[in-house]
Amino acid sequence: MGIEIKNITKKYGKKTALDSVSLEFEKGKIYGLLGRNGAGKSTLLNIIDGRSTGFDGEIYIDGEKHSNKDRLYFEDIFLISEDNLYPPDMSINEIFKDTKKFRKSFDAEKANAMLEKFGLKAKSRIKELSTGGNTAFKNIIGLCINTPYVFFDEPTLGLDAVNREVFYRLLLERYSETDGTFILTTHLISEISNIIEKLVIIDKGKIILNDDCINVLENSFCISGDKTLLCELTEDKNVISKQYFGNSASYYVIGSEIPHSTVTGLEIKKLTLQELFIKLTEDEGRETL
Amino acid sequence: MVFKFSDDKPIYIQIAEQLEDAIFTGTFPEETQIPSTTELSVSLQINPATVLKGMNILVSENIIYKKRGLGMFVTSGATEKIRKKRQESFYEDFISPLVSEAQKLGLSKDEINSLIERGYKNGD
Repeated sequence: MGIEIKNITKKYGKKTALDSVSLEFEKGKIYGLLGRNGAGKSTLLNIIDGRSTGFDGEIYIDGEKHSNKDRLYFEDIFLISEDNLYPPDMSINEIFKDTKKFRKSFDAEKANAMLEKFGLKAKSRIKELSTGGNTAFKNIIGLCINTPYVFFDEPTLGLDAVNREVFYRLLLERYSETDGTFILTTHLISEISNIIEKLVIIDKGKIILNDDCINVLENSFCISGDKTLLCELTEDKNVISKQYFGNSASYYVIGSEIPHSTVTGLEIKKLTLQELFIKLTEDEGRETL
Repeated sequence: MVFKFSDDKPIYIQIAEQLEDAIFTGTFPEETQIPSTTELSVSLQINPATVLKGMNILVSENIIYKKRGLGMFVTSGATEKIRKKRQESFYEDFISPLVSEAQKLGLSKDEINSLIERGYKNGD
């Protein structure tokens, strides 16, 4: 059970946004879908949700084939998109009422109670909201719709530090209560590294990593020291990036247990998710490989 | 209790260590309940699976145990167990790095011994 994606290719004109992407989102987990600007995160979410059509490949939601004509699956997925699709003259309250009509599982009472936590007012019109206010308001809808799959595309956009914490707490509360499946995209990687259980990294339309977040971090490290020694030590390892400083160097390794070294002059450091992400997706260090 | 996390160790290990410390210092006395996975997850903003992974380390060491339908409780005798464990790892955790640092700095065995004497004097 879960979402299964098979060989999805999506093109915008001559540009390939997704290049034969295959992956599975397991049910009941919080995913971090990370990628640089234009990597294909939103395209992938829009395709699963059904907003974006005209692609090659297949999608299965809980084993049932996703087709664009048959929108049955739609009830099971809710995407809070980065784009603002709500009419600017409507008030938050009116949108909550509308949402209830289309989404029976939407808990309007809970949503109204959440407004205060983000410092929002039910009477405010969409056009009166700041970027952060708009994000918070959309997040509330996502947190109060009880569908099995909820996708948050950039749920931290413009949110201040306090409101981001409020969002993370509410998300984890909702997750504990309902055991739903959540996919988050964000550029604030260090903030979500403890919140997500699963990590998917997409780069230039391709999935380059899909694993347990803990597992990835326990098997990623930076080793620094003498250049020749590093070459020997990492011969059979997956080195994703190299940096040179004269005779010494730093190698970034993934997919191997962090070694305990007793060799003097050799330094081994665990990577943070943000460091790992940068080393995997930056164009610089990789070209020297 | 206050949790403080760093980047140099997996987060679930830090959760286990800090819960253990809270049990050892009496924040959670024996046979009392410790916070639930959900409580810790929400307040620390950490995925519940990660919190559970940390708690399971303490369960496997029999420092906490699960009461069905109620939650996690501190095992009676847990404090003594933690004390023994820490005494056993004292050499590895403190003496071994102390000696290797002392050697790097060129401090003699006698000098280290007198520093330890001094530590005891000041500690009184």
